[in-house]
This record gives sequence, C-alpha cells and structure tokens, in this order.
Amino acid sequence: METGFIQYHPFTQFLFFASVISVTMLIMHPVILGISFLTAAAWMLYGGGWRALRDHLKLTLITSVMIILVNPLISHNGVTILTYLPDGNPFTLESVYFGIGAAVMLSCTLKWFSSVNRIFTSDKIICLFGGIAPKLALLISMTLSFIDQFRVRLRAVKAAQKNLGFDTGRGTLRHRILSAVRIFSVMVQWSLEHSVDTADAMKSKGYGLKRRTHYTLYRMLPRDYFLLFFILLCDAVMITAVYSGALEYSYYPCFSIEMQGGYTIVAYLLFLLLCLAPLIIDVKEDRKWKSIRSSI
Amino acid sequence: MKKWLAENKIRLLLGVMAAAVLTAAFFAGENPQPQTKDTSIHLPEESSVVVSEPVSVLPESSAVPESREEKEPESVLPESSAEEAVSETVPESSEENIEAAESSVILPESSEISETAVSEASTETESSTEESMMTESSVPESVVSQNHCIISINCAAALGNEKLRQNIRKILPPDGNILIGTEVAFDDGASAFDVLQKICREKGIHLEYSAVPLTGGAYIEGIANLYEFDCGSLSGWMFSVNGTFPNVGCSDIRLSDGDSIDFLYTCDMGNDIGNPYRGN
Repeated sequence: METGFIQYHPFTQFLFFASVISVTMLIMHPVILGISFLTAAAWMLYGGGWRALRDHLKLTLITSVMIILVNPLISHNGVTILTYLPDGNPFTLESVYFGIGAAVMLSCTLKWFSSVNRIFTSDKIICLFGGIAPKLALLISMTLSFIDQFRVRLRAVKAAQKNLGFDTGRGTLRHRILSAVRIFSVMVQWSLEHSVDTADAMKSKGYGLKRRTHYTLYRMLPRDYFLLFFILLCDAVMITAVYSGALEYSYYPCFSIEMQGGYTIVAYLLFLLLCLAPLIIDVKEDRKWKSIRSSI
Repeated sequence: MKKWLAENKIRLLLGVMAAAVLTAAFFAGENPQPQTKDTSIHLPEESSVVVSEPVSVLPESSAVPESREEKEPESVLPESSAEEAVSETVPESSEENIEAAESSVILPESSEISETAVSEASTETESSTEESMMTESSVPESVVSQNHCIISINCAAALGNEKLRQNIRKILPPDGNILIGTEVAFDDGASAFDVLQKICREKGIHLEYSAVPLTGGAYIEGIANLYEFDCGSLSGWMFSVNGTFPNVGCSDIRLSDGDSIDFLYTCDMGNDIGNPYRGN
C-alpha cells in the first residue's frame, strides 16, 4: 500500500491539483513556471524514477522544440530584432522567450496531469462528484480508465489475431490492412460492449438516484484540514499578488519581471512550498516507514 | 536502424512531404512584392517635365502650371532654399501636387546649382532660363531616377490615451515622435509601404505587417511595437501623403518626388488625427 499524499482525502488532493495547475496555466510568470517545472520534475523523479521522467521528456521534447521554433515565425512582436524573416517581418528575441515560456508551461501541465492520473483513481472521482453530478463523474471515470484499458486490450486482441493468421506485420499490404481493420473492429465492439455493461451494472445498483449515498473509504483527517488550509492560504496570496501587481511580468514588447518588494518573494516562496507539499509529505512518510521497520 | 527505416518508409515519406508542403506554403505566401517593375513608364515623362520647367524652386501650386505655359518663370523668393521647398509642399489638390513634386525633381542633388539659378532668376528672367537648361544638362540620368521623400512616424495620439498598457507606453518615445521627418531616397514607382519598410530597416524600427488577401497589399499591424487595437477597437496606423489621407492601402499608392509621408497612430478611426471617418 502506497503511503503519503496518495492517502489524503480526494477533496484535498483535488484542490491541490486545481490550484497548482491553474496557477501554472494562468500565470505565465517565468519564475512561477520555473518553480512549477522543477518541483513537478522532482516529484515525478521521486515517484516513478528516472524512467518516468525520461519517458515524459521524450514525449514533450518534440512538442517543445516545435513551439519554440514556430512561435517566432508567427509572432513578430518584440523590441529586440535579431534578423528578418523571408516574408519581411522581424524575428525577435522576445518571441523566442515567449515560445520557451509556452513550451515550459505545456511540459509543466503535462507533468502535473500525469500525477493527477496516478493519484486520482476512478473511485476518488466517483467519491468527489458522484453526489453532485453522477453522470458526469461516471463518464469521466470511464473515459480515464478507458485509455489504459484500450492499451491492455489492444495487446490481447493483437496476440489473439496473430495466432489466427491476421498478423499486421507480415504478408501483403492488402492482407496487413485487412488484419488491422479486423483488430480495430474487435476493439470497437469490445469497448462498446464493455461500456454498455458498465452502464447497465451501475443502473441496476441504483447509481445516480436521489438520496442514494456513496460508501467511501476517505475521511477528512486533521492532516487534510491542515493541508487544505495551507492550499487556501497560498491561493489567496497568489490571487492578491496578481491583482496588486506583485507578480507582474511581460514577454511583449520587452521581456521583464516586476519585483515589488517583499510580497513578490512571499508569493514565490509560498508557491514553491505549495508545489513541494506532496513531495515533502511523501518523503516524510517514507522516512517514518523506514524508521519503524528498522526498529522492529 | 535500417530495419526501422524499411518498416516506416511510408510514414517517413508522408512526414517529409507534409514538411515540404508546409515550408513551401510558409515561404511562398503572403509576401507583398515591392512594386518596382514598371518604372520605365514614369521616367521619360518626368525628364520632359524637368526640361520644360526652368527654375521651379518654389512650387507654389497655382504658379506652376502658369509658368509652364508662358515659358516665363515667376520671380522666386531668394530666401526659400531647396529643402524648404520640398518639405513645405502642401497643395490643394493631389494632381497639382504630383506635378509640383515632379517639377522639383532635381532639387536635392543640385541644390547649389539651383541656388545660383535662383539668384540670377531674380535679376534677369531670360538668362535664368538658359541657366536652368545648363543645370538640366549637367544632371546625369541615373540621379534623376532617384527620388526623395520625407517620412515621419508619430504616435502622440496613443500616448494621450489611457487604454494604452504601461509596458508598451514605456518603450515609446515620450513626445510620440518615433521617427522625425527623415529624407528617404526611393526608386520610381515605389509605394509608401516600400519607403516605410526601407527606413524601418535602416533605423532598426520594429514593423509588422500582413498581406491583405487577394490583393497582396501590405497592411501595417504595428510599428515600434505599437499595434493596432492597443488603444481600443478603433485604433491603428494611418498614413497621409502631403497632409491628405488617401484612403487606400499604403502599398497601393505610388510616391512622387518630394512627397512628405506621415504615419500616424489613431485611437478613433482617424478623427483624432484630422481624418474624420465619413462612412461608406
């Protein structure tokens, strides 16, 4: 059984991810992005090791390079003109900076969402939204689980069809296409059947009826309230910092970060702490677990 | 590696084709060509004007056609120098303006010669005609084809608008003069856009434009990082030639020698810079 942040109440976890991801996506402040990027990478490294981080970087590298290269070709704003493009418009340093910012933001968001996938299992989604919007909650949880299921089933169907002589990797082009179509049709049928079955099963259990309560494993503990309070405090500080101009930044027309004394630094530090919170919790739990085990 | 290549041959081929099409589309499209093709039409006309026009240092727009007919130049004010004459041509109608501008074609290069001509013209009209003929013959053909105009870029209207964001305001000059009247040489048939692009490249002024669909003309989106819509939905760049606003695209208007072009930022469809919007 995994310990640490994953055991917290779904509502606390949801609020944490909602805060971090929305701050990362809405404030393209270079320092905020840097904090978000590094902490997300650190947590990924702690949770899944080098392999997870490498896979993620492989996935985002091409997209990032594309964004950094393409942005200066379509955006010509900026005071530092490096050279001129063949169509006559300037190629500016600021548009390169913005491309880097956008690429980092995308990478951060993907990293955080991969953590969401790991932590937010379908039972937690049902627990959170089952009472408020049962249909939506079921739809989301089914969709999220569908991606992994599809991968597993595809492997099984492929193997089965290969033994029946429908190998997509061998034979004439026509034969290979026919095999692929066959596999695809099996996959679609299986998925549709499964979703209909799930819907029927949920209906027969009385899911979505009024006054039906959900049994959940999760209870709000003092640690949840503590973390919840901290997240809300960070949110309040971030919102006031944005509106008071302490987190002012601009990419166009000239790249600049406004420093507004202590409040800016407080906002940076609090956001750093917020992003590090799950990592700190995990490390602490692991240490405790190890020390208890060694003392046995 | 070889095996992988063989397996993914079709995918690679498709990828390369898609990349090629994208690059071709990027480089081929939307490049407003400077209109310097049909320069030959203008040359003989202008040179003939110069020959028939003796000492037109001061193109008082009404005086120019008269002097041509009578072959007797009006007495010229001695204190008016050549540069002033070029910059202060504000005639009533655009047609007269073009003639006036063409008539002063030789001015910037041969200002010394024409000034001597001025002093003699004030004393004796007959000899001045001869003098100007000499002046004409001394000017080489290649110089005649080089025209000059005065261009200025101003954004004072934007600075007075409270909608302008602070990070743009602080990079603009405090008096709004992005470019103070500067003389630019241009070839025959050049458009206002060509001149603007040339001077912006020379001075390192930021300029973004896009191509207008179908016509291929250039539309100025932003100069010096001040963009259209930065001061509300009615704001953008407009231009005037010799004080009048030709309501056409800046790459669709041919310039004549001595024109003065002003690129002005408006926050109110031209109402704040003397070009009220009249509707269609």
